[in-house]
Amino acid sequence: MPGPDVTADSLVDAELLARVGHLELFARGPMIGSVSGRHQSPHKGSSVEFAEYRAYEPGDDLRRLDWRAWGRSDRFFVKEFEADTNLRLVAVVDASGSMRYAGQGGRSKLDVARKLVATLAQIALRQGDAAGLWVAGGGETAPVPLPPRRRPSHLRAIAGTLASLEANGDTSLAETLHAAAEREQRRALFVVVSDLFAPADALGDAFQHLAHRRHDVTAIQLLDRTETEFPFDRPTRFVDAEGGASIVADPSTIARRYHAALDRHMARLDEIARQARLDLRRVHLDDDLGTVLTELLAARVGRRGQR
Amino acid sequence: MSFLSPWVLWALPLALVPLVIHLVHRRRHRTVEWGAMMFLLEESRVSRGRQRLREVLLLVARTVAILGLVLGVGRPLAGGWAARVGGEELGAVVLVVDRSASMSERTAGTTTKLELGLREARAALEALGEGAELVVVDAARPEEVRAARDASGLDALGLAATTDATSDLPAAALTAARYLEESRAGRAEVWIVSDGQSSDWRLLDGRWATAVRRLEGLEPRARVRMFLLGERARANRSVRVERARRVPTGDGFDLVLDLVVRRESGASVPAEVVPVSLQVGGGRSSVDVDLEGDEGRLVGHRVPLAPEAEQGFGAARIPGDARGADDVAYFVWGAAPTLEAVVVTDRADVARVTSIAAELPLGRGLDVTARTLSSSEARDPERLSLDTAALCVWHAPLPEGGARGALSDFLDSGGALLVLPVEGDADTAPFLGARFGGWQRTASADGPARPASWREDDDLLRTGDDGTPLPVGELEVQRRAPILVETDADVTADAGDARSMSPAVTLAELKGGAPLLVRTGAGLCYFLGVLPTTDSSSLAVSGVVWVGLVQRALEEAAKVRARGASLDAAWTLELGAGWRRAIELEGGRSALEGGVHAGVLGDGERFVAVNRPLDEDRSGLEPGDALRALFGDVEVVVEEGAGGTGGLAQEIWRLFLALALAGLVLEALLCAPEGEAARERVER
Repeated sequence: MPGPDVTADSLVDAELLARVGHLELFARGPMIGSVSGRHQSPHKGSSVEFAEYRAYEPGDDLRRLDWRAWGRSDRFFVKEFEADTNLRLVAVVDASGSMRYAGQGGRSKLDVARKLVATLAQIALRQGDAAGLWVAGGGETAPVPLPPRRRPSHLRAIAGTLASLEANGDTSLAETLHAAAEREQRRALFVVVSDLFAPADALGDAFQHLAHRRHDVTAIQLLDRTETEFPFDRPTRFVDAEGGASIVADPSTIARRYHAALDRHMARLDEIARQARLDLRRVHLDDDLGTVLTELLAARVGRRGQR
Repeated sequence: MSFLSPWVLWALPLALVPLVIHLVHRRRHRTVEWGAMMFLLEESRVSRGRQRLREVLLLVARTVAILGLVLGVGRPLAGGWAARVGGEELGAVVLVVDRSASMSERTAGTTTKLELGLREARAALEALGEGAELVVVDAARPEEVRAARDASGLDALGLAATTDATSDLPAAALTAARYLEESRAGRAEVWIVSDGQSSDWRLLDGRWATAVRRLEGLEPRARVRMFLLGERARANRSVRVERARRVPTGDGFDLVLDLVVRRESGASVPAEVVPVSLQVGGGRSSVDVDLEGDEGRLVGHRVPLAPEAEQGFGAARIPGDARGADDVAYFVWGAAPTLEAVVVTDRADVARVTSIAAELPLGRGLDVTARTLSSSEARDPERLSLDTAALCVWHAPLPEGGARGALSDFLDSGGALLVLPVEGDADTAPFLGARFGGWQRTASADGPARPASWREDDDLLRTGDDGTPLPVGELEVQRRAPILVETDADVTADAGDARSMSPAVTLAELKGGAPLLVRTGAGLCYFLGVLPTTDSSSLAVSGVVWVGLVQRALEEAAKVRARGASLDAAWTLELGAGWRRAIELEGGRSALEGGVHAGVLGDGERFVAVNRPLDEDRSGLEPGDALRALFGDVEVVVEEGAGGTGGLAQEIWRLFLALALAGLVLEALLCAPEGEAARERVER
């Protein structure tokens, strides 16, 4: 549940932005944008960066003929340039019940997800890129997706949607990712923020779907230390945050098997990440978000430029 | 299974504590809203059965731990007699204990069969709880009934030491039946602890029929529980001195010994040499006996004697083995005596037939002369003079005054007294617990009365060594004087005065139970209800019974009265107060039980060797079925103790404590934390 202090304005953390604002958000692959921008486009265009010569074919724009080349070789060549375009950031936030989990730090997964997505959206919009938002789960009050837009005012819509999110109900991340993959026809940078506590096979299919659509996908898996270390020592009733089912268990008796199941799931996600070229990042709720975002953005700078 | 401390079982509800704690625990856990539920649910699905099993196991382990602890502290008994009698509601228990020499056998560790049996009986009594009256009949002294109150009272009776005598189980059974008849204690059981040795059980004894008839007649029906410690130890040896005599040599005397060493292990066992340690007077020597097959004999072994030693005693011992009682044999030696048979009567015919019967040389090595006194002469102790007498036949009014004392002393010193009825003797005071009633004619239109039952196995009317029975049943009785026995000493809890303790034994009785020959409780004192005259009986006419009776009385007496005598240990063996042990009893046995322990006794003038009866060495064991059949319609439960402790009630608290321990260990294993603490499993 969002706290009363969660407002659209509070989501944009000035301090955090100051720490990561000097970095730019790049996609790892070419983007197809609607306007010219700082991101590589898969199309050859008319920008200033020369790409190659191509033999003239009937129908080509005569304005793109390189007359100097004709003069030297008596053959018609068309000069092609790199086409730069803008980036479409599509953030997918998991708002299922499990994202309500706050662990021992008091900051819920949804809180962290809001902050990460709001900051990334602001960075994208500030550098002239488009940003949109999809929400997975959230129960009956789940908001409709916000398509990527370049307007700076779109940040308010995104922040407002994030602020209104409530972590509720079953996770529907895989379905949401499938839907987003279908809806977003043009290549985009997908940032999925979730605990990824969903059936790995379904998630794998969804990420493959995104990869198939040539989207650049980054998944930020939010975890709490209590989930990875399972530090309980007294008999405890575990109530499912997503469905209400509960288990009374003596942690000493289930710890080993819990760890084993968790490890299996993590390993399976790693495998999916390899297969779907997924940039999978695991973030603990007590991790410093500035560091998390810095690592995320810095890692992308070096990988850009591949068509 | 039963318990020696059943009150501890009140703590059994404590076994519910783990369950209660479990339930309380379930209600006291904290609640966590958990995101990573899929892993818990997944594992829960996979291991729900295992979890449930673990929880159940944990509960069971804890419950078992508490149950084991409580039951262990309750001292449970299992596998034996006690386990089966636990919970029985009994009014009375008559414990018949066979303390014969064979019960000294050690088949398991250092515990004798008797100790095992008593321990079992005690455990059974404790399992029985309070409420049942407990009395003990010691088959070594079968005429006594001793009150023990409860299990702890058993120890005070000093039953744990075996005797060297043969037990008289038919007499003990009869005593038990008689007691139950008289006590009317309600539902009763007769518990018999024995090894089932034939010589103790005497299956052919006529008293069994009487005892069983009486038990069958009890209402409610009594039950017999036998605890048989039957199995015989392997390789048991026994030693027995068959003859010890003083023989002159050229310059002095030698003691010449014939002894035999027997073993029970059978012919398949290789020959061996058994060292026999001889104690003669104060000197000790050793001699080896070659033992081949079942028996090894040493005949004519000479031990030099000091010239002045006219009589003496000694012991032969073999190395200790399973049965300690037969590892020693005692012997005495001395010059053969001339013995007197004193006949006190005013009737010439009685004097004549008695003197003839006494003086008949029957090859027993006894030189007997008969002396006749009138009843008036016999009143004078000086004239009576029984110093050299072995037998006194008293056909005169029951003795009074000086004669009474002289006869008592005579009996104390081992003499035999046969009391015959005289006319008009009916109103005199009893002598040694018995007197005669007025004469009665017993002959009817059908003819003269005949003895209906008599003891063939022992005493004066026993079957001869060659197996020929005395024709007692052919005896014709025209007139007889009833023998009236005082019976007020039947039940005695105190083993004080041995003479007053030993009730009379009927050796022969007419049809209808009228006693014809009774041995009173004081040594070799017999009351015969008829005379060896034609107006009373056919004793003199047929002669055989009378001669046998007189000769056996002489023979019994001569064993003590003659120097160099050897007697069988027996409860009936009564020696006078002047007799002391020349060789101290071994193994802390009670010196009060004079006649039933082997040893050498002396009265300052002569020695008597007392040894276990030959039957104790040779007799076999009766199977449980044979003993069961003995009791006819009486319900019999046979508890077979297989020599060792199998079949015995055993305290199995160790088992329960082990169970408790196992429960705790299992609990600890089930509770051990499964995961390693805080390991780094997720890389960022």
